[in-house]
Amino acid sequence: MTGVGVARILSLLDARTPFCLVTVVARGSDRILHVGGKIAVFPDGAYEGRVGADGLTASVIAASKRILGAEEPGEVRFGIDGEVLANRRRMRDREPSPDTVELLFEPCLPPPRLVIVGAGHIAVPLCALGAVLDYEVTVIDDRARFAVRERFPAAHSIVVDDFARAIDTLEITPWTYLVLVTRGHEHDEATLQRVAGSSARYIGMIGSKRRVLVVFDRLKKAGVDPSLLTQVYAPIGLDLGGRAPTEIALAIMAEIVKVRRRGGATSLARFTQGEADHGVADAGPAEEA
Amino acid sequence: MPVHPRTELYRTASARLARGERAALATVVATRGSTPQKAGAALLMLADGTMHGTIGGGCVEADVWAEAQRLMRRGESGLREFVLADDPDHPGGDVCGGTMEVFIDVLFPASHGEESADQAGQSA
Repeated sequence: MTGVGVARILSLLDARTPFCLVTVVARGSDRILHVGGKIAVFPDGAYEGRVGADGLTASVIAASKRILGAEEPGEVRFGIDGEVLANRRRMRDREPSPDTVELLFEPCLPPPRLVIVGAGHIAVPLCALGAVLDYEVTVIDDRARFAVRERFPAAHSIVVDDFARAIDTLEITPWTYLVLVTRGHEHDEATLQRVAGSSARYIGMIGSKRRVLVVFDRLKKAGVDPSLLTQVYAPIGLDLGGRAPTEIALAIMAEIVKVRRRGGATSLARFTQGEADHGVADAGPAEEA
Repeated sequence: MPVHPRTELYRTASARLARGERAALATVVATRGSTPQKAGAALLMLADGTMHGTIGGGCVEADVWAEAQRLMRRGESGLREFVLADDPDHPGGDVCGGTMEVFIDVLFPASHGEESADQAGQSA
């Protein structure tokens, strides 16, 4: 096999297999795959197809991993032995020198998944906003009268189950964004204990600053690694100053976008993530009822 | 349910290739200046002239289509640059003025795909 064909790419996309599609867009050497040749590189570094020049393979895998992390496509020029070269100054200068190759890297990732634990009044607008932003939304609650389709028309799935069991059966990937907004802090705490240290890209937990610190304290005493808790966004959301449930949902969704796209907006969690507390009054959003 | 935007393009392409037709998938590789679409945008062009997806507007797509037809006839893929020139007929219109580097990938029916592609690569 020299390259990955259209049918294979389609089957990977349909199976929602995360991979980086690498296409040769220009080449100056016969030692590599032809122009248009493709390989699929998976997040663990495994790959299908063969570039051709052995020295290049490791560099292609490394670049693929970087592209998958950044979730943005990119073009990279390599020397035939795998060294990364500066991009061409001018596109017009498209005659590749004999020992260079230009590859297009495209991340092919499953849709980001927003998992809302707790089906209360924050969850309703959060589900709607997540769907608008093309997240695949899952809502979990142990109360069948809250976790219903009428309240969450845009949800991809609605799970009515004990929180612990629902979380344990959840597939958590680096494209999973977890929001803990249950009706009671004991549920948020138990859920956080289960998901801290998972591969989720984002974990946010609602609650005032004071409340969050109490929860963190208890989890530390229960043996949860404190360094895992510093990665939790709690109090949840960007510092928008919103009060209504919809405004809080917006602050949460905006924070998720910030994390995914590596933006620089200010999170309320700066109070609990080790940054200086500037004496601002307890600024966490209202607690979920 | 959200799906990867590329999925439907590949599904359409795959169906056409299975019928023995060629197709061309144009992907924006890089841009400079102001352009309507950025890297990763894609346009699928079929042998019957229909297009799916977008790489940003009628003017550049007409140029890309002309080049894709040429490449499909020759049976090779290629990297091309397109300049989004100012349109004197539409001063102040939706003029971008940037340049786009587009990879036009000619896709062959599976039966002779790799062989044709290899030949195309060697003749490039």
